Amino acid sequence: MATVRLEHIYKKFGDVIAVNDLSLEIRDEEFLVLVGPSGCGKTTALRMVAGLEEQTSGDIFIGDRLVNDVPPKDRDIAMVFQNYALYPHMDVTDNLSFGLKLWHVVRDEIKRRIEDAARMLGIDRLLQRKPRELSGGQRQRVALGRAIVREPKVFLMDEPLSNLDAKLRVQTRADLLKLHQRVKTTTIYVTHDQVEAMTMGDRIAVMRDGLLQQLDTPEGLYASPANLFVAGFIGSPPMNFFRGTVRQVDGQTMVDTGSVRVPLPPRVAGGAARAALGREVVYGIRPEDIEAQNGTGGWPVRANIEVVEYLGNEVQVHANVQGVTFVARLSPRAGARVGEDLPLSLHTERAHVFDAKTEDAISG
Amino acid sequence: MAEVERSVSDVARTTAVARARAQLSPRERIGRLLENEAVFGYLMVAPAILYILILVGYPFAIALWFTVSDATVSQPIGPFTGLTNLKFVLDDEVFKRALANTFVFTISSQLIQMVFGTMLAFLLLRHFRGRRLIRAIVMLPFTVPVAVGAIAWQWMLNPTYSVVNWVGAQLGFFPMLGGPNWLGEEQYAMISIIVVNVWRNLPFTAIVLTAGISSIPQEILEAASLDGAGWLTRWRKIMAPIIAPIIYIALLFSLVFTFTDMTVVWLLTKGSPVNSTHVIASYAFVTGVISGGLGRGAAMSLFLFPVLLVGALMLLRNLKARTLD
Amino acid sequence: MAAITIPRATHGRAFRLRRLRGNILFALALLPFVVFALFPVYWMFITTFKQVNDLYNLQDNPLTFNLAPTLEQVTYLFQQTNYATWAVNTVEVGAVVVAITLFVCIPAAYVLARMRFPGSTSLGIGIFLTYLVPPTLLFLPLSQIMVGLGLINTKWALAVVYPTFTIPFCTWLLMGFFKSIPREITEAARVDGCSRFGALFRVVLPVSVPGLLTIVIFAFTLVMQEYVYGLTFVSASDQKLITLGVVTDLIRGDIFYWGSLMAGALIVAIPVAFVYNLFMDTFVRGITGGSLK
Ligand SMILES: Nc1ncnc2c1ncn2[C@@H]1O[C@H](COP(=O)(O)OP(=O)(O)OP(=O)(O)O)[C@@H](O)[C@H]1O
Ligand SMILES: [Mg+2]
Repeated sequence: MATVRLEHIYKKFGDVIAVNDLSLEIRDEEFLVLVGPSGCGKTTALRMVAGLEEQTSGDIFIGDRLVNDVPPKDRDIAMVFQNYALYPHMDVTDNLSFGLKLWHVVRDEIKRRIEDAARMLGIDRLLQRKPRELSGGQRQRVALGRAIVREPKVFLMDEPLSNLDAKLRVQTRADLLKLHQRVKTTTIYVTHDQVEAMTMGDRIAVMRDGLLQQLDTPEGLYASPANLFVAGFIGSPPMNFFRGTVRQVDGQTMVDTGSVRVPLPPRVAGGAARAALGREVVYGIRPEDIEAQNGTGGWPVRANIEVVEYLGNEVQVHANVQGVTFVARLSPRAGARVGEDLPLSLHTERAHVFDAKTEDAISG
Repeated sequence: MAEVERSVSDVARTTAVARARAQLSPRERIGRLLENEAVFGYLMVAPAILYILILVGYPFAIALWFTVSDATVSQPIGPFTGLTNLKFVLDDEVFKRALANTFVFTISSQLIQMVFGTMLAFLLLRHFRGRRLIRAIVMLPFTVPVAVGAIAWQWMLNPTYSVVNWVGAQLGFFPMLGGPNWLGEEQYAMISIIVVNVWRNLPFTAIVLTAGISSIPQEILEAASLDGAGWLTRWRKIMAPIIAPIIYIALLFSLVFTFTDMTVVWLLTKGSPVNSTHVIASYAFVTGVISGGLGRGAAMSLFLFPVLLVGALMLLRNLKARTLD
Repeated sequence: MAAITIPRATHGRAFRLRRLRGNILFALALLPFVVFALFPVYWMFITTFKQVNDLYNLQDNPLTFNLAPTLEQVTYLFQQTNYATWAVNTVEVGAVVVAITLFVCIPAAYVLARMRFPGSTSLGIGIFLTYLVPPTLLFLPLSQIMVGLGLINTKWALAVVYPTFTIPFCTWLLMGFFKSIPREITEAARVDGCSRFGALFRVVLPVSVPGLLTIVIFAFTLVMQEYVYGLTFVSASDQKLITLGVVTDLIRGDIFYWGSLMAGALIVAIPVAFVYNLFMDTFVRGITGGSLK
């Protein structure tokens, strides 16, 4: 078990800066998810921790050990690859024991670990098969098994679920979490899927264009996104954004889009609000923070319903208030009908405000 | 965020690096060095580079010196003579003939091989009983050592006992014992050389094409059929473009090889009659090795180089695709 | 029912007829190729077993035996020539060439296909360009080097020279093979505890067995069939390899020992044909590998 510490890591490929001044500490026993859109440098960061790629500058520590010059084989890590990378010429047993033999683990111990891992992953009946005789899900399990039996200090996983179908993905996600609760090995998990990140991570590091945007717990990311990018990235359907100017109206600080006015959330009141007066901002509110009016507070608006999508337990409507369009998640009983007007209330106390220029969150 | 900001001070960092290095035994240190991509890379290509430098690069350099000096077998390090050898070669009628022959030989062999190779490839692609056997038979010429194959043809084309002429006479093409003297007359000798070369290389061309064609995904062809594409359209618009890269590689390899090869010519005719069937390679061999005119022989061989270089540049584009991702 | 089955039957017959016509056309198209390929080989075969008087007979059909078949020529090959020695030489030189080729090409192809370091691309190009140097240009300087090494007029001169053909070609071939192996497999091995060398030997090579076999076959057949370098470097009969020996020692001045020549050739060709048929597909995939994806 170990912490992993990245300090001011840069990685350049020619002119491309794949990772830009990344500093990150993964705590002992933590499950940290590295998430971000395609090409943002997640894989590169993970490969540098593994030693498969050398950082242009910066330091990486595993435990207390500086591993900058240490080749992958001596870092005591295990990695699960997106395409599994099983050794095609070996059967499952040999795939699992390959690393152990190289580490000179004694034979009985190898046997014990393989049996344990195989039972845990439900692959005990596949041990004599070659990788090409396995289904995608089974291969994925063998790849996980290969990492588990090593009992390394750190697990590194690069989108290990992305080649599975949706149902298997959900199930394996749960299995992985259970596994982590049992073995408690420090894990860095890379994905581009924010749902996967939110459900799995103890903490989540959001990256974009090689830059770390925010490092926080799932709750923290959801409740207080540090900037516009994170706010838009986390949550599905994504947060609604409107551009506007901060104004003093009837003694209250409001965001004015030109046609619609909404109050600033209480968090942004006071000094921050005064400082923001007259500035261009982006006002964000999540679709789930909009309800049909039922008299229990919220900021009332009359919206024209343009599209209604029934999802069974809820409906997602695309609504229009005087030219400002947004998505809302409503109860099926709210009675939304295409073309009709519907009174909605916005829970503006849970809204977010971002500086339009810097895109950083404004808070008091 | 606070703990992220906490960074080891520079002093502490330097000592950490130093400590990590000092703890290594010399063996571990060598191990580390080998894990370095560049060190490992140079070490691994070193044997190939050394071998080639010593056994190709060095002789090549000497050969270059030969071309500009009056080197002979008895006196290999001859005096510098500038472009005398080249001038001599350019004035040599036999060489000019050989130069023309080389192009005729190479280009017509390749053309015939491509056309008939494609036909044969399609025939071999059909599933029929005995396909493996037929394929093995068709492959036979490629497995007979080319030198011996050429001798066998020489026997078949023997001026007196030619079995080819016997069969031709039986079929009524020419009178008994009145067939052409295949290897004794200029035109016929050149035709014979090309035929033997095609005989030898056609199987390979066909097999490469078969591999290319069968690698085309069946769905694409089916989709094209559904779109109403006929046989010829499917070939021209779909198959040929898809297998173009493979044809291109096979063709270039084979061109370069045919261009510098002298075996068939040497064994069939040795350049006869009256030096009319030499290719550059065989004439350079006669001049340089048999007659000992090192400088002239080398100058002749080098004459091929510009053409080969064009071939090389085309191949290199493909090589780049292999070295980079 | 009857109304339905009758048309179907006629349709079936028409269909069968059409297919039969197709098959005949197909056979007619294939026939010239088979004859062209097979006839010289048949001719070699029958020449091997003909009596000498039967060979030089202008009266009768040369395609069949007009006198009783004989093993005379084959016996001559084995008893009056160094054929057995040539065969042994070929195996020895072949083994050395294969060993040198593998030792040199595997590491070079691996790093050139997989790694990028300063100059890697130019080195790859450099190795490949060797293939283009005309052999005739190299004969003379090389024979001087062989004199220097004390190898001239021995089979070992050939063992040293042949790798200059096999190295560029086989490096190229192996690069295609190595490219097709997913990079992640070697990375997984390195994370699992292999050094870079270890990953090559424990993971890449076992997966590349078909490619390695192809190289072995290529190198060996080259040694078996090469003629021009042999002609230049070796004149002592007991140092010759099989093809050179057959072609030079069985032609004495104007006298051709046709039967023995053909016998010597066929004995080489038959095993080679067999092996080629087994490995042709891998061989072709090796040459074209990189360009087909
Ligand atoms: N070997 C390489 N050579 C050059 N550029 C590279 C290399 N590897 C990655 N890059 C570049 O670095 C950037 C980050 O790539 P990386 O693979 O880390 O992205 P990622 O976040 O893992 O994306 P994805 O979700 O698509 O896997 C990209 O712009 C990519 O093009
Ligand atoms: Mg990635």
